[in-house]
Amino acid sequence: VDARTARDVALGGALGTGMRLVVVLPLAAAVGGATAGRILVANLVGTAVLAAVIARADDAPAWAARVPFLGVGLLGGLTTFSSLAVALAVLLEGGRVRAAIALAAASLAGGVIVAMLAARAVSRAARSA
Amino acid sequence: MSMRPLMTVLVVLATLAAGSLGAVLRAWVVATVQRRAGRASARAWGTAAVNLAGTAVMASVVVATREARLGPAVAIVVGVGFAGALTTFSGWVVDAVRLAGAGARSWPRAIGLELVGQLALGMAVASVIVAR
Repeated sequence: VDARTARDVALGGALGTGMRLVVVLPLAAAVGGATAGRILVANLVGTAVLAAVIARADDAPAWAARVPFLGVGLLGGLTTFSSLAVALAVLLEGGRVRAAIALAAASLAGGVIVAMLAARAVSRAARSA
Repeated sequence: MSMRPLMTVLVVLATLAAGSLGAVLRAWVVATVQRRAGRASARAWGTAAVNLAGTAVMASVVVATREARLGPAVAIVVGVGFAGALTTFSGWVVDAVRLAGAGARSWPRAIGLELVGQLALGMAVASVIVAR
């Protein structure tokens, strides 16, 4: 990781973290559970945008240069795995198995679907441009 | 959570800084794993490593907060800031989809092992720590 990349990732990471902080802020729950739905939304939105950025970067060098800031930093920092995994564990601990399965399924199926749709939309737009 | 305004500003700034640190550490781990392995598709292992490590940190923060060994300010900085940004959902999912789409992975492996498997493992790690 060169200095420029590190700087871009650091800036983007701070910004993405700030956005996520706003999303989870009614923060009674750095303790999981209540924020799970908000985390899900942040994760899916971030995944769709990242898929679009990466698809664009495939054939546009100007976008490839934005990946450290926008992709790795901002969108990587906005979205999170740890909160999701802990939210699932907390749901299971409370015996809420169905809610845990629903959250896991919505996250994974939703993530894969929005990633594919966003990438497809961007490459189609690029082809027709 | 009630905090004084100055305290709130400091917590937010510290959380942003911790998020920077987490994101840079993630980028470094992923780049290092990729370089050592000599192929781009190995980056998924780097992401798995930071995701599972960050999950352990987040679960530990939750436990410590419940037991009142950690105040809310530190919990937010370390949990939301550092562990939140060290781990990633978007990079994890997009990498899996792209690697499978490009034929570098089979779809069953990408979906079953790298997505479902990693999430199950993360949940197990968190469960063990939370249940302590």
